[in-house]
Amino acid sequence: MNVIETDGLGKRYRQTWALRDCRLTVPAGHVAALVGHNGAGKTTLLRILAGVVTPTAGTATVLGFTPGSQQARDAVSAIDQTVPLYRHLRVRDQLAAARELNDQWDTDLAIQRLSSLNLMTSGKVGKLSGGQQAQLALTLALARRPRLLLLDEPLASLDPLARQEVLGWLMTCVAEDGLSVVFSSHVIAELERVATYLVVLSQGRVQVAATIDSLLDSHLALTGPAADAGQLAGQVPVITAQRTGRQAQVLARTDTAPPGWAARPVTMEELVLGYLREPAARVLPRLEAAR
Amino acid sequence: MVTDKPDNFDDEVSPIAFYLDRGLGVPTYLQLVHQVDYALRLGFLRAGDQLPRIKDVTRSLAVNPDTVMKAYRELELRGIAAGRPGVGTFITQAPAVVGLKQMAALQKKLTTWLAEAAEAGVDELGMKALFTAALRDFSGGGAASRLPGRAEARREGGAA
Amino acid sequence: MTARAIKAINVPRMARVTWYKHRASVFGIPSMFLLAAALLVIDSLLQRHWISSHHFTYCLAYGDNSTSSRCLTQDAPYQLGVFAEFVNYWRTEGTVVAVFLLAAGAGLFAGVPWVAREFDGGGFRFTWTQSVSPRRWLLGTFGLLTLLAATTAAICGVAAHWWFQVAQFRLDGGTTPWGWESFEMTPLSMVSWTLLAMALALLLGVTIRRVLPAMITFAVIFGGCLVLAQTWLSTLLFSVGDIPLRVNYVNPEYPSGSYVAQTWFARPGGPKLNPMTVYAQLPNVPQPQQVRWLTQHYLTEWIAYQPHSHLVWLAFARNGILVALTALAVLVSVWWLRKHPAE
Repeated sequence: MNVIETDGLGKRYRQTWALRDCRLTVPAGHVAALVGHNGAGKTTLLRILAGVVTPTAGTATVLGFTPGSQQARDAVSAIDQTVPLYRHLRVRDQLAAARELNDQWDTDLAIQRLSSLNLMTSGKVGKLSGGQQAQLALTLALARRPRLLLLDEPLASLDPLARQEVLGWLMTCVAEDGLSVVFSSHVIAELERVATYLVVLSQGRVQVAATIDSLLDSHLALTGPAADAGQLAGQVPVITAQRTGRQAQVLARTDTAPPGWAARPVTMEELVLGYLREPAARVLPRLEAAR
Repeated sequence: MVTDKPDNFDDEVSPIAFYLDRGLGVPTYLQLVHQVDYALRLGFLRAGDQLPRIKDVTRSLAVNPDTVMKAYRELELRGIAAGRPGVGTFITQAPAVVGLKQMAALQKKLTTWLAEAAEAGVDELGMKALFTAALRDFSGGGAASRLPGRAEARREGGAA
Repeated sequence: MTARAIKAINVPRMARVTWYKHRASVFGIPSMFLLAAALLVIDSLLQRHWISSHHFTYCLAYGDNSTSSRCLTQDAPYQLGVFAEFVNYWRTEGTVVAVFLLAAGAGLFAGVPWVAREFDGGGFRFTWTQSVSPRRWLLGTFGLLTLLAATTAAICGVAAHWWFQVAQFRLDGGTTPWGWESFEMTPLSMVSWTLLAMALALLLGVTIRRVLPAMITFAVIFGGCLVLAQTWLSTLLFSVGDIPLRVNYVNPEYPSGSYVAQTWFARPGGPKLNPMTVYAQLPNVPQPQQVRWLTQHYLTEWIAYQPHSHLVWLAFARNGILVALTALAVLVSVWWLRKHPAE
């Protein structure tokens, strides 16, 4: 089944479309990374999927449910960019409030996690550092035992060690509980290691939506004479081409190196940066039935 | 200062632990495969040893479990490891290790070639490029081959 | 509300959430009402002590025309003078206005920010992503808060009513039971206004979703309601079911404690005439001659009055209207929230 399905999804704020005509199908069991320029529509998309923003056009479903419906709220946890918490409460009251607001709650997980993070339950949430608040929000989100987790830049405020630890914890949840994750990220270096699905948004539209495996298999980094770079576009789909003097570096969507060009596999970083530089290029899933 | 790896999790079951080199440009799962291979050659791993549990690897390296599974599947395809459902993945056999004497003879030949190249005016990078190209061609290179061993060689050719 | 609907809200859990999240309001609103009640009781005890120590208890009754204290209509100068000290219009009127505005205060400073801040401050992005539905959460927590407010408002109303029994005679000697002060210083009125204030706060918070604009709009609308109720609504309501009576100048007959809703003049079989036009035509002569002038012109003066017995029904009706508006505001809020749950 698909954890996320959107069709023609759009959101307009006053005159500008934050999201336009988005079609996405993210299969279950994936850790999907959402990448794009600032203002490309990542936050809007995540908020629509979380059910806190109503779309202007199109439809979206999470785990087959309408975002914001009772079943969706039961099965989906979302942490917004602003890390919303009841900041005037003490940690233990915030914990208690979250417990009362949810039907499914793993108290042991929450307490264990908070004590392993050395978060004092008597402190005020507002007095915690940005990273600690993010940790608390994550604890609350996962104590609900969701099937899908939506994260909007949640790890940005964490120090490198904490980030590593949190990612490790998330990956364990993915391994053990079959959790699906959709997270927006600026840290491309992590993507290959952590994510299995990639969505690139550009100016409110979906530019890339595919599994990372298929992306790495279907692209090559070509090196060859600059003079031939122009012709290459006619032979293979070229994403980006950079000419320096006599040499050209090309990112192409092909699995065979054309004659006269040396090929090597692309790294995730090159691939993502290439597509970000070239908003017109697209990799979109064919219309397949969900598996 | 030498520290034992912190025992956050249940008892470590494997004699080795994985690490990741992010800047390498080599896909993560391949790095894991290489580390197993390397450990086998150096004797850190022997037949019958258990490889680190997937959940331990995902936690310590913050790596997607799929990636670890892919690495272990690759090892299975090469015939190095085998998975026992519910228990873990275990080394089945050490790869055929080339004899020490043979290794010495091969290295001597390589040194001769290097000397020739140096005399011809090829610098270190040039030598590396030559070797990489030759290796690629020898493995049947290009994208035409789809066999696991060869596919790996294609990827490795780019990493050098 | 049906038992099942209440169960669906899961009152105990919502009560705990209200306690965790809104301790300030949970303490503040009842404290405000209970403190006011305590002050009113103390003030009234002091007043009653003064009255009894000066032997003025018989003053606590209406005089001849049922709008002023018996003491002020009597002739004894000493008593009048001393009792006149007791009469202090502004202090009583001020207290009445302050108590009257408690409901507005609850709505404005606790109710409106409570709801609007959930949207304005982004808290809804946490709350709306938990298992509880926005509707259940709002009704469960804000509803409990309203219940608490209404209960303590009722207690305050009882205290205010008891206080007003004596204090009303400070309003220039007394006041008609039909005056707005009498009307509002009752538990029923205070509860109704509190309910309406909280419902309006809910409605404006859910529709406007920004704290300051919502507070300003609340002040305007609720202030308007408060004023309209005393002017337009009272006039309208008090003419419902009034009893017409021909005025007898020798022996004005309408019973004490009545409220004169309308006066008019009429000729036999003719239409109602505006009293102002008739007064304008009346010659400037002593009253008996004026009466003769009226008779000569076949004019009879009429009044329509509400007997005292109607007062309690009209009070129920007036407050019933407020409660009906409350229910309407709540329904509209719930409907609006369903239509526009998020941004």
